[in-house]
Amino acid sequence: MINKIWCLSLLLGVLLCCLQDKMEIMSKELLNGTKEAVDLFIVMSGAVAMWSGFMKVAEESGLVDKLSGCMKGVLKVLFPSVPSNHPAMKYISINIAANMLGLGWAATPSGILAVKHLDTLSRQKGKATNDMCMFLVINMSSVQLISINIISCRMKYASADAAEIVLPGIIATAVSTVVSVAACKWCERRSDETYIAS
Amino acid sequence: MKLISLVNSAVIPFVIGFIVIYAMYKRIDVFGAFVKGTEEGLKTSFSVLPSLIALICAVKVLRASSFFEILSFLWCPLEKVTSFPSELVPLAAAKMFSSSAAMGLLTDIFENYGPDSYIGRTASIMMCCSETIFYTLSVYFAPVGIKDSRYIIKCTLVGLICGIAVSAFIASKM
Repeated sequence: MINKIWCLSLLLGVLLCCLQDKMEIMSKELLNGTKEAVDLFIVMSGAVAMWSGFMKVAEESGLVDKLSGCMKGVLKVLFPSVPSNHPAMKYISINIAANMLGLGWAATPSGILAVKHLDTLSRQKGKATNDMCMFLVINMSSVQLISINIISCRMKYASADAAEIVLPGIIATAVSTVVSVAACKWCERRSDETYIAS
Repeated sequence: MKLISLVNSAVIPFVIGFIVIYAMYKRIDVFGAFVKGTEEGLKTSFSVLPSLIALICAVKVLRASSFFEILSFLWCPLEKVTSFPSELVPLAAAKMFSSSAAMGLLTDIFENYGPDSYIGRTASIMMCCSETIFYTLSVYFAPVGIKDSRYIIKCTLVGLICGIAVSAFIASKM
């Protein structure tokens, strides 16, 4: 899927640039893009490494088990086929907690580890399992409580009440998360049926 | 507002302090564990770099081709039917690819319409409820080598559209 989207966006971009005679801008932007990616990687490696360090500390002290213990009830419903003492559950709970608090850089390493551990339960490598789909869907519907970037951006443009969007933001996020999870559960059931039928 | 920024700036110190105090109380080798974790973290972020380059290149090409502006133009006939402003379509589309591209468009919107206008408010709320779909998908799946993402994009898009609709509705009541 990502393969198709990537190719399509590249080709579409190239075609549109040719039509508008913007080929030079495009080449420049492409090179800028690679630089931006490496810059981002440098900024990101430090932050991701630091959070992985603290994550490891929390793991070895047993704090992570406490956290996933608190979230057990919800996780059991969302990820029915993952055993509750499986390491994937730990990383899923760290990831969700980090995302809620807005610690994006802490969410990345735990998210990747969660997918890695979910993959050990997979019977068909290279294909996302039901649990991976659920995990990614929750992740992508954004469960962040306070979006501080947006608030500070509003402040910069002299908003009368920059923080007024916090509650509406939480409501909108809740709706999008609930709808995505429900859609995901529905797809899950439907694909399980075809799986059993075949 | 003060309270929110205070709470927000307290998150990181509080989380780190809590982790370290708890670990000291449990008498584990905190420094050793931290270093071990950072080493793994460096490997993780390196495994993300290839998809990062790929994605940012695609976004750059799309932005150079003014694809997002064209999307907003294409939405114009639908604007009356849905009462969703076409100025916000590029923002919704860009957010799926990269948050820095979306942040750039958001500042443009604030500059042109002001953060307290209907468009400004809808944009702000919308940004809260959406996440960079393609970035997350490739960053989380590429290191494990998962190619078939099945119904993930479909489900997320359904949720995202509902979230955007709710954002526009709430903003119209503010």
